[in-house]
Amino acid sequence: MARPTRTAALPASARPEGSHDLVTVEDLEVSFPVTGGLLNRQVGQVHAVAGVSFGIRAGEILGLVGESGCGKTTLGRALLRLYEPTGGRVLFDGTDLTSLRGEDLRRMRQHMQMVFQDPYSSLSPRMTVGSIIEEPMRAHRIGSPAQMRARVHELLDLVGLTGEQAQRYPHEFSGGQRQRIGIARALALNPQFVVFDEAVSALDVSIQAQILNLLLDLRREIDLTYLFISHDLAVVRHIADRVAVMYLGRVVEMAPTDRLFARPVHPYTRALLSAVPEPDPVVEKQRRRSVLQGDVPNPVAPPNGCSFHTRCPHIRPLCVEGVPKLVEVGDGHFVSCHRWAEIDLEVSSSVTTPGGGA
Amino acid sequence: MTIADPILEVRDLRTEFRRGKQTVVAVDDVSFTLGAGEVLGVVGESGSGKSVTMLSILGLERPVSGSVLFEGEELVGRSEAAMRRIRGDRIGMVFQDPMKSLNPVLTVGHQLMEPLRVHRGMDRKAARRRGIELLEMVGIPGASRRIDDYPHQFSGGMRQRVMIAMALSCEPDVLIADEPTTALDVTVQAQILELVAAMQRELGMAVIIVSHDLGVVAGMADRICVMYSGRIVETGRVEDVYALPSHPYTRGLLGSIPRLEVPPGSHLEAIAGTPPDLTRLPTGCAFRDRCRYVLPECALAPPPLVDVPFGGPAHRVACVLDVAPDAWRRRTEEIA
Repeated sequence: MARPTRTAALPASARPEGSHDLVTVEDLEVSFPVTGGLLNRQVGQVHAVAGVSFGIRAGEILGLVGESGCGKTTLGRALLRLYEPTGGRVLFDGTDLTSLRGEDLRRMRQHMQMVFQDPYSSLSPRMTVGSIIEEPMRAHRIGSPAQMRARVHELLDLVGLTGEQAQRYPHEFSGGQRQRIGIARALALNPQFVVFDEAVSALDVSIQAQILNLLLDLRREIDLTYLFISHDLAVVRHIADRVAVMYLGRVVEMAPTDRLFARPVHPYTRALLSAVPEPDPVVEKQRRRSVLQGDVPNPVAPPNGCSFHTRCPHIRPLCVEGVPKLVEVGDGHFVSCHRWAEIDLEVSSSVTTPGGGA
Repeated sequence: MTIADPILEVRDLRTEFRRGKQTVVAVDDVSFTLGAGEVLGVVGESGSGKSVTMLSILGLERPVSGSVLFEGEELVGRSEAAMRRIRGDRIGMVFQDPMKSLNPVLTVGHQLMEPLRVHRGMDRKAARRRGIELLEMVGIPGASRRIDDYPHQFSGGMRQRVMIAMALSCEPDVLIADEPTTALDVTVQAQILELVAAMQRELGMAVIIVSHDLGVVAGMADRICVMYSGRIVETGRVEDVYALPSHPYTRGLLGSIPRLEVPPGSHLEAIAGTPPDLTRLPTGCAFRDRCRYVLPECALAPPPLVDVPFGGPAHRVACVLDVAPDAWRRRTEEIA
């Protein structure tokens, strides 16, 4: 298979004054072996992340969206080196994480944490909430037992629970409360960067809103930077400053949130946004969807050229031939599409916006 | 508003479960009518009783009291054999997880032909021909080949199409779709919703679509029922309920979704607390512990559904508050 085209790191023009990239991803690749047959030999490779570059600014919430199997979870985990990248680099505050080993890596990990989707399987049922939240401090040998207890109380307070609840077990809590516990654990070591992987997806909407409010408050109060991975575009529109859209292991579009939702350019982004049902019967009943045909191709054998060409309504011969580069098409707006200019012209001259409904 | 041509009438339905020594009232005092060719949305969060209501209608759960009239005939109390003649024939069903609803060791053709042979008495050849037609109708490419494939050979979206083909095989009068797109990606969800809408128009059947997603229901339904802790707390035409949500729970639910008009990064309205434990429901209104407008009389008895003042036809709400629009405005100002 063709090697993904190298893309340049973000130009300086894409960054606001006075803020630097806390996390820089350069041409990151993560491949997994595919085994099969009697002897379980390796018969192929899945490029779950196939050459991705972007930066996350200090204090920013970057939304990462895409459908199942697009590689968004793998990318999130590779950033924290929970998966070993097979190519490219991840810089955290200037330090190349991919080169760190042993104690250096462990020390670096204090600064970056993760909150998982399932609040039922990510908390040990045999540990009290207090010891769950203390565990990262114990693992990194930070603080005396008394200091740890005090920190647990502080953290429970911070996420909207009470210090007395430290003695209880996870099963005594509801899904939303468990997710608060997961967040408290992630914040125990005072990280700078947190990856949220579908952290509100399993929750009922009324509870989801509580957690989103909490995440926004925490960012304001303790100066955090988030990568917020989600398949829910309405949630990402609400919480993220910038959004990256993934399809089959690649970022196909990235832009400031308001710009992406007002003026999406990549045909996949446009289809994705038009597929989101808006909770408004008036909007919904007059909306014309651009319904995508077919399914996502098998990631073991992705299509040549632009990986979206098998479903794209704008396909031309050149789309089958070469992988499009991620190019800047406007203020901090990056698109990987051979035909972006024509599509953008079409968008700006049409009356209706694709994502907004009316 | 009375439904001109009711095909399904649910009255005072109550369904309970035993959990050890405790009784869980999953559905209580649920009444609604479904008109022929109408699309009814049922929304609510986990534990609201929306799925159990559907299972009770289908006879897959046994209600302890109440009535379900299907084309004027009582379904509650019928034998399993009698219910089996109705399910899959006159009332079709689609559930959330197509992998759990399909038998993994039988070809989809086998499963698709079964209702046709059982309910319609078709022979193998005719059933197979009809099965291929159905797969084509729901947009499965290469239907004459794919009919011999097994469920695992289909993607999630394609499996849900197969489920819809099965549900529609006997051209039912009512289709019950319980979270039919919840397990699917958003672009596939759009395909499936378009398909259900097209089939509904073409076959003129009535549809009940159950969803936790207020967006899905907004686009599909003519009328909706909002459920909370086993009861219907608000019902009406979908435009009326979304434009003038009158139960504090419905308002909270709509306020919890990051909608277009909500400024990004602002606080969502959210609903405090968590839904009550169904084994220990509070007296009176089940929502009162989470309600910011709670009054002393909320603890007395579960409020009945009453007409919303100045609301649309059949817009009804189960709340003791004055839900007239100006009263809401006053209350909102008081709180702010």
